Amino acid sequence: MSITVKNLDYTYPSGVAALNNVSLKINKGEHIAIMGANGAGKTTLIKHFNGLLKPTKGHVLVNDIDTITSSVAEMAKIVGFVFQNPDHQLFLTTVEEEIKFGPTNFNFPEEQIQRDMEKVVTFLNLKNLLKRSPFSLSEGERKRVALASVLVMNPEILILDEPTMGQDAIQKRNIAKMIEELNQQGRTIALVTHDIEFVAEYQPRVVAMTEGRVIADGMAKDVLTNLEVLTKTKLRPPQITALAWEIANQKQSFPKDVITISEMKTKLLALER
Amino acid sequence: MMLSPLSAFEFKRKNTFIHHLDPRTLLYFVILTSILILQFQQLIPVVIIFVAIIPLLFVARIIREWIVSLKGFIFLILIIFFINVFFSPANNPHPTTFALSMIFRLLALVTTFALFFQTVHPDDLGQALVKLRMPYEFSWAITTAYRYVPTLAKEAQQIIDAQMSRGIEFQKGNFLKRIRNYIPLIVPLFISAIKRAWKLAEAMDSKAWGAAKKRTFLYELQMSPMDYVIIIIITIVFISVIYVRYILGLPAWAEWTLPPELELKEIGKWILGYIVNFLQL
Amino acid sequence: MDNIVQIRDLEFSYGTSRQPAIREIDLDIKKGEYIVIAGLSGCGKSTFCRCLNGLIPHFYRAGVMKGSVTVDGLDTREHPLYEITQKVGMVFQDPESQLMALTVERDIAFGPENLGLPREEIRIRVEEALELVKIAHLRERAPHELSGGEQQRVAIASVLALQPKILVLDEPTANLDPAGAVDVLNIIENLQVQKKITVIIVEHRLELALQSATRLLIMYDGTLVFDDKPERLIEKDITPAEVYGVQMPSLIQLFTQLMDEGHSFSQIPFNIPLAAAIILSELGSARSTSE
Repeated sequence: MSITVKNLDYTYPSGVAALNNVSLKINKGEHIAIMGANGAGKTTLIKHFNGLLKPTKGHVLVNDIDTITSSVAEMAKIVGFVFQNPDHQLFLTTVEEEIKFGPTNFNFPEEQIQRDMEKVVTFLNLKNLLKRSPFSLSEGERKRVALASVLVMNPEILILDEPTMGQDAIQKRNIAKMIEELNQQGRTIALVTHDIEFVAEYQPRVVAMTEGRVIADGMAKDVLTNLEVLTKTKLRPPQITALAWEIANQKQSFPKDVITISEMKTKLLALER
Repeated sequence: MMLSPLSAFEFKRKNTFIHHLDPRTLLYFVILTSILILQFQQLIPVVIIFVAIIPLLFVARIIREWIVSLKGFIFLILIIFFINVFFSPANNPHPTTFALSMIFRLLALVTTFALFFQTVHPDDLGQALVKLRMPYEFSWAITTAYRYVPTLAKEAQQIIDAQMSRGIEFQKGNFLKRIRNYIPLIVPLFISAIKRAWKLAEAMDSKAWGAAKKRTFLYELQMSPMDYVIIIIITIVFISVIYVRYILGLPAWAEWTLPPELELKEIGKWILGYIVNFLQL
Repeated sequence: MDNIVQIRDLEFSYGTSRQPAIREIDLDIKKGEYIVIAGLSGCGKSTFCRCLNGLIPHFYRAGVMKGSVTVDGLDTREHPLYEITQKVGMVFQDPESQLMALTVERDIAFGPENLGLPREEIRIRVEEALELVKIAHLRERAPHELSGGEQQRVAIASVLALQPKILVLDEPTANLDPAGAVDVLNIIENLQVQKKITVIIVEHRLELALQSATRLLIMYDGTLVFDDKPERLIEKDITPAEVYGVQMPSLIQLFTQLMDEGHSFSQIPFNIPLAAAIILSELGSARSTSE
């Protein structure tokens, strides 16, 4: 399952040009983070991945299906899209109904629904909450229910909009663990995030956008340590990188492309010897 | 989301003579003009009133917005037209003329209100209502409702996106099914509105809501001499028109109607008759 | 006597739950402190904030409050909310739900208008607040046209117009992008340094917030489990913050790991230039001893 974006332009009905000649290929099983300032076009781009938006010009192919020719509902079987705010999604009276809603709507066979539900419920640790009302749950739990209601349809591509926004340390770690596992199952993961420390820690492929264009695309280590890209995307370097730059200012030999703590430690201890 | 007819009533800040008038003056204008419009069913007087309002749109520099928003009313206009032409009571000898005058009546009313809402800042409207002795809580509720329209529209769009991504098709199925389709939109929208109301109440209480018996205002509306001049002009025009309408009586040309050969209902009957004849042959 | 906030044996449970949301909190806060509160979501941080500005007990009347909170000499139970809000300004997480007027200027005027102040006084306060958070250029704009960071600055300004001595902020940057968060935190630091406003802020982005903090509180399961200078966090006799679900900034994690390697540092830095200087001098001296 791959996503191919070819010379994509998108202009909103209001006349705002949000994407300008974006080309991008996301391969099967990849894990990619799309970063950039607000208004850079990140959300507009990912909304093309499941056909919520259709290109003004150019094409988006999901596994060779052109999104222009396909409905969002059809795409939903292949592309799972998890939005920032679970409250925009949950509307049923129990967690169980909420999780079963998507596959039931698609008339999947009952046994399959039951089986898939049990799988996601175990995966996301929701067993004890099945009979509860989604509205009685905590924010973090609701986020998990929203995710479960998408995962239960077994999408091969998963898109997450700001999964760590407003989350505490433990929730963040759980999200990271979950993304890692889903990725290991062979799913393609694309996420939009501002959270540079999170990206520095888990190091997906990074696509940086500004003013509707992709200005950098590569390994986290390269993109996040590129001052020009960071400036244009209004991102601050990870703390560790900022420290490396500060040290390199005074000690020219010190490497500037450090983003993880363990790497920094090694480099510093080497400095000592 | 089809919100385009509503854009006719959206305030845009501009620096024109009309924008600087006191909202009360404009409110007075809207009320008297609406009353005038509703006094006439004849085509000519309604068209005259309509045409007389148009220059004001130029003065307020909202002519472009107005034309764009009129597109949103085309469907409604067509419905009014056809209903009045083909389903008018039998004792009406000029259904097409009547239909046209109903349309111009609608256009004149819409234009009058558009002029008001596009030139009066909603906060000023709230202020004007307070000045007209409405309790502050009510006028506050009106301006706040207005304030949250864009926020709710944005939120509705986010919910639609989220639900469509789960495979919900809002436009699918028969009428009843479609209504049910909207539950996944309405429930989250409603719940989030309640949550927002709660947060808003907290924020208001945290900013000393209700502290003083007599609340003061940063901006106090002030009628300028120009406002009084305008009010006098509006009053004179209003009284003269009413005088002509009810005391002097309308001149004959004001009662003008389409000649019978242009009467659509007759043409329609003729075409229908022709078809029926044709089929019988 | 210069404690601007005094909290004694505070406990609160919402009407819906018998389990207290916060409990056993005793705390004194001095004038001009910059206090960062950290902890997992649901640990009681928000509830605690609402106790400081009087929303508890006045707004949440269904709940049960025990103990006492005194802010600038006012016992929050004995004074009406509008009096307390002139001592303690509160900024919430969601900017859209705390801006209610249609222009920035009128939003800032909302509080002083509620107090029934004369128009000239409102004007002065609005101008002052616009200046303090550097948004004078936005005065005519509608809140929904602004970016999240700008909206949050308006929210701060609208609270400053009540001229509080204490500013409580409940996750003010949670919905913002990094640039917006930095802007907002810079403004807050400025207020503390220049206007001597006491700041109490709930914040997940410790790598930013701890740079200005004079004191860190960690809450866990409704109560305070850490209350000290941020520097004390990585000392050996202290329970690691991770136990309470608080993730230390990567800079601090780095220093902890270097200490595990046998290094010791004169000071634990929360900002980058200082960290670089400390590292260079420590590792420089290490080199001279090994040679």
